[in-house]
Amino acid sequence: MAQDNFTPPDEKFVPRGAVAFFALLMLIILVIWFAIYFIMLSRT
Amino acid sequence: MDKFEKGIIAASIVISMVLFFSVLVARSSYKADVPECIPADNIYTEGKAVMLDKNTWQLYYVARMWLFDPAEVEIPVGSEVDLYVTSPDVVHGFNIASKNVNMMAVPGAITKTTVTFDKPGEYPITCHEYCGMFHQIMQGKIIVR
Repeated sequence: MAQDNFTPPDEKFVPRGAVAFFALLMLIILVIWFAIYFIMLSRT
Repeated sequence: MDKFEKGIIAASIVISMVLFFSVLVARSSYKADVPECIPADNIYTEGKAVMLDKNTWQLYYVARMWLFDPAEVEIPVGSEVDLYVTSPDVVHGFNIASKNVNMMAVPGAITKTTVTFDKPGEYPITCHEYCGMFHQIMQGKIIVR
């Protein structure tokens, strides 16, 4: 039976993948944003 | 709320503030100029370059289908230039990409900004607002020597 194989969720679960993805996303956004920012400033 | 959700919300707020204050820093300490639309009772109809002194110029541009008047202006290095732009026909764009100049030429109004040309070279002016059949040939040039 399926219920016999049920395992309770791990209460110490850490979403490492989601955190890493978020950190990478923010890093890429900051790199692109500041690259354009300094190009624009150099033209003023 | 889960502690990871709190962390991500906090990080998002911090990053948003960093971007916001970076814009304020650029606006204040780097003196980035913002074009202004000035009230005009008498709109000029011909372009002209006025030298106030050796390094201070006023350039009055008329953007019309499909040219800039004056098409070519030569100024010395280090000149501080007041750029005025208007249009007698339709809305045109006035873009000097290498100096971050981005203005609209609007019939019945004058747009103004101030730029310092501190490096020699040719600064192409392009119309970046579609204005008709020959929009793509509408170009001008500021030569800095």
